[in-house]
Amino acid sequence: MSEPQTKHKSPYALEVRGLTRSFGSRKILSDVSFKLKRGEILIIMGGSGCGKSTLLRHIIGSLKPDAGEIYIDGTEITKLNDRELSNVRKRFGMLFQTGALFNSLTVGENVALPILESSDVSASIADLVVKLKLELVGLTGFEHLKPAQISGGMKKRVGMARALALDPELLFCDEPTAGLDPVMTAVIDTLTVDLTKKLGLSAVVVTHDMTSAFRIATQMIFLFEGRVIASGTPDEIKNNPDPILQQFINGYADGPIPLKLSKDDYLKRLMQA
Amino acid sequence: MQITERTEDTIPIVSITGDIDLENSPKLREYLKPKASQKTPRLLLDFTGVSYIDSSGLATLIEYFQSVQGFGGKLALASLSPRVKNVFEIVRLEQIFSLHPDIPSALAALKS
Repeated sequence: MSEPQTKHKSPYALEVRGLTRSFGSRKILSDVSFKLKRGEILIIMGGSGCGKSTLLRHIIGSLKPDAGEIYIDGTEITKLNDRELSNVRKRFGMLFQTGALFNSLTVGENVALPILESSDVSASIADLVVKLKLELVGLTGFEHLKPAQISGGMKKRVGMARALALDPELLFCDEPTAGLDPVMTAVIDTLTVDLTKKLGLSAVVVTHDMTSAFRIATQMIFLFEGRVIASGTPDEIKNNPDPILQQFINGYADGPIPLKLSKDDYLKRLMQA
Repeated sequence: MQITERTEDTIPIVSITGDIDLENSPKLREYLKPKASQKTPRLLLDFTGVSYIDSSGLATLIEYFQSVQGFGGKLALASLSPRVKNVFEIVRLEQIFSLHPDIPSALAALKS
């Protein structure tokens, strides 16, 4: 949202090509590719441990892949040095799974932090920006509280306000609605859609919340064991007959998605000396 | 960002050209501060040349708005692009600021 269209290098806010990453002998991401057009919301779905958060950590540059490329507005980021990466990072906001707030700072100070760190604006201007951002997430009047004094869902919303503090063009959200009640989930969903429609923001949202996912997505990908096994619009995903995908989006206990450990494995491990 | 000023019917019309962003909004703030301290009764900001405004730009305008309340100063904004107007609307500031499609209508509002 922060740059006029003419300044963009690519029609895609984000493009991932052939991303592959192993931890030890375990392949976490395998040849993952997708594109996100500007102004769209991409949902990354998949079970716990399928590689979603690892993928997000690569996209924000905190992990380097074994192979593959990541383009943010046409700039390949996997080979950038820290300083170059920091410039790219100014253009995106990140909402972490837990909110990741500084407990020693107030809510307002947490939201103001990126503004004061990256610019010369005065404290009074930063305070006003904090008020604008807290209103967006339904937390007007909470700026003087410490994170310990608010609920987990509120912390998540403060994290969202902080992610939006610098008016990012690209927003990454890891489980933005986990721990929120249905009304606050709808507030965050509406906000995300409004930001994309009205301001041209692009968003990548990792979520397990299928109601929220289908409400906001323009594109979806489904990760299974580190691979993209389905991608498309919400309608295409709903109508995709893949049994793994259908089990996941409908939340069936029975289906092809294996449990992490079979009962045999569990018993064998339990009884081993 | 460039700022130029002319006067029409005793009303200063400040035309801004460029982006009002984190880098530039302090410059606009410095420009507006004396307007507030001199108790400028009516001010028109011409947004024809503004392609983008961020939250720090909005905050700068809010600060000016707050500072002129004490003496009943009026502020009107003219010729906002749809994209810029959306930035105001997403935080509901169109309900506070006097936004106008062009300079004549903003002047008329300031004179009323």
